[in-house]
Amino acid sequence: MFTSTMMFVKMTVIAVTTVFLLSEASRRRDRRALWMGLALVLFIIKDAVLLYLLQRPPAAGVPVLGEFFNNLVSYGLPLGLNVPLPVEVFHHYFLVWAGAEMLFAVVLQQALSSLALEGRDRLVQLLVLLGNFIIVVIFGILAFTITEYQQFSDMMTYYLWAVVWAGVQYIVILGRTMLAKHGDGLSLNFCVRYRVFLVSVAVFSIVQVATIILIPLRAFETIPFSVYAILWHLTGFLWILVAWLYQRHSLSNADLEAEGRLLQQKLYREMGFSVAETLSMQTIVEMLAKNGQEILDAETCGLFLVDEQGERVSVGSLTGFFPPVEPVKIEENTTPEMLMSRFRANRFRVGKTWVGEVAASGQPLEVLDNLKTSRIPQTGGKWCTVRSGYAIPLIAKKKVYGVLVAVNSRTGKGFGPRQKRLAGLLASEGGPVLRQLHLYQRVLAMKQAEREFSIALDIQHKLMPQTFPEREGVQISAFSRIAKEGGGDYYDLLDFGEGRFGFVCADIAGKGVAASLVMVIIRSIIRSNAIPGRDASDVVSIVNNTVSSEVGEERFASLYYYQFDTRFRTINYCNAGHTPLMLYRADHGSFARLDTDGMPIGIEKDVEYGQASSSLQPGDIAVLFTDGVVEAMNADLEQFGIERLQHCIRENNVLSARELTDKIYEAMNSFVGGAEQHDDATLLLMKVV
Amino acid sequence: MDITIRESNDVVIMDINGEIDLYNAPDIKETIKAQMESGKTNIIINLDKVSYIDSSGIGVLISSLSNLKKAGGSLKIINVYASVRKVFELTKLTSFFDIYDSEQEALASYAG
Repeated sequence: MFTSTMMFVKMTVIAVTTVFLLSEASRRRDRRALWMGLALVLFIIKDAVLLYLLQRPPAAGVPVLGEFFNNLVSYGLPLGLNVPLPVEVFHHYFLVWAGAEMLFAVVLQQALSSLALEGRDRLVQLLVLLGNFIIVVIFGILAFTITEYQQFSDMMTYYLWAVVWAGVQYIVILGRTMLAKHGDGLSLNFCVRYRVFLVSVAVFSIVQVATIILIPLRAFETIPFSVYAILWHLTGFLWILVAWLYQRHSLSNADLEAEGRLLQQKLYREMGFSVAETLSMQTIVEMLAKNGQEILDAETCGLFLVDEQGERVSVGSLTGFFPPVEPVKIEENTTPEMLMSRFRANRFRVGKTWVGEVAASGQPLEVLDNLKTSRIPQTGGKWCTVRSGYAIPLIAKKKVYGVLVAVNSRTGKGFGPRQKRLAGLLASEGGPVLRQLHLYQRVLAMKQAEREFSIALDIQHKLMPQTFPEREGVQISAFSRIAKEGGGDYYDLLDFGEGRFGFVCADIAGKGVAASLVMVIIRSIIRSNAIPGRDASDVVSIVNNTVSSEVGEERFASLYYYQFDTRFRTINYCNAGHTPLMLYRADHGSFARLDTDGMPIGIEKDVEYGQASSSLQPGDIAVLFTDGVVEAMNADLEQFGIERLQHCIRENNVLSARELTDKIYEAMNSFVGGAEQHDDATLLLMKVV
Repeated sequence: MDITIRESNDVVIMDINGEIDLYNAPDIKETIKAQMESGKTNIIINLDKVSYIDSSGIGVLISSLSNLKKAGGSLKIINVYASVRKVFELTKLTSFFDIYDSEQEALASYAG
């Protein structure tokens, strides 16, 4: 009677739970709920069969199973170890009932182990399933191949192995539950939340398993069978309770997951737009802060960025007035806007201040009663009093890239678990995005610099003529060694025809594309304005006035311009702050400096430039060069110098312009040796023949 | 390169120490800008301890001079020696800048 009542109660509970589990399982296509529901269905079937069998005589002359069972119970323990069991009873009772019991145990354990073993333990789960399958198969084969039973205990041996296997699974569940960490997944979160209860149930189950094994060994003969019966049934109830709790937990989590998926979609969409539109850090940072505020339902929210070195934290975006992380001085006339602009410019150390601490630890920080604890300093003056705060790090590849900080929960009750979970999701999406942006910006800056550099070099190279016309009465040659980082040297040759030439040599302050653009301007102005017959100083004045109005003052250039007429061997020159032209006079073997008044071009408009003319003789050599030639430095920090240059020209003055230029280039290079040069070196040489 | 700032009767004196090149020249510009923002537009630059100046450095001096002039102030340069003077002379900028031989002379020019 006791057993029947207990079974009725149990079956009712199970039936209700089963309906609930199965409906939820089908609604959400939850694999675990399905397993549990299935286990419970088997449970009911098994008990129903038992109830039926208990009332029905298995064969003529054989007692009703209920009686037989009660006899067993009244025999006390050990459970029918030496009680002869008629084969008919075995077939009716044991095969059907114990078989169903086995199947139920296997399926329930399957559900429970899948509960404790989250996805990444698939292999373990597979092994458990395989073990269960093998047990059932072996049990089935044995049960049907044995036709004659004298001893109930013979069958118990096989039953016991299955029980041992169940015990192993309970131990696995126990271990997993004890080791589970929060955040590994839905079911592990469940294990953490109900850890004490789950561990108790698992221990209880292991004890139950132990009693089943120990009974045939006559270990506890004095304990009445009803104690065992209660123990066994209670275990079943406890697991039903676990299943029900899990279902409740997974329901609330399933809602959160759905909400999380929506948030994720929203983030991807918004980030996708930002990436497509501008790929700007600012847009994405603003978006993260805005979403953070919405999710956490905070009065104000800020996103702080950690620099590449992981040393400093700066303000990325604030959704509204935000109490400065480090106190900012508030004076009487300070407005909230002023306070915010000062705070925005502020940078603070990782590890210092409450936001910096989160950046250092990589762990979220929650402050609920700031009015009491003052964990967060009250730096917001009369505009903001910090009551609560929540800071969560944005992490990617174990590095903190930012911190999302919410101040003052609007509900006044602090930040709820749902809000924190969604904020965690936002942070876990935001971290990798910030990292990508960091990487992208670094690559972009490098590419930009590289490209700019190569463009500048390219322009510089292309602007300067590499071949020179061969005309009667004059030989022209040049070299330009551009420094590794590029520079501002420039030369040009203009062929006016009829043996008239214009020579330009310039050194533009600064480097890169900006400097090469000045070269282009100089080149085009000279090319369009230098016409035969126009004074050199006029040409330079035009260049100066245009460059002065077009280019910033910093971008000035020294420029030397001269014209040579081979027919009369006359030279007309103007120097705008450049190294003066060095003229080798062949008849004396001496050098002259051809210089005029005037400062570099591009500084001031309407500068007056001087000019002068002179006549040359065959054999004279006009050498125009930039300071990079005479300042070329060797490893001992000695300069090539004007003397070495002059010596080289004097020694080789009989050579052609091309050969002489090569000699100078060689002399300069062999002097410098391997020392790296930081300035361009350019030389433009004309020899009268 | 280091910049030290002194003041004498509302005139800011910047003592520069080291080499002025493309990479640190902007610091000088920023320092002068900061002075202008706080209302100081009369500035003397002391190049006594400067061993080298390149075209970018000259460029910064030129643009600062022009900015200060626009703001009704001035830029004077003192103690221009050796290689630095050579650069000024070579580029013929000695007359473009107000160059004085000593601090007293430069300060006196403001007083007068």
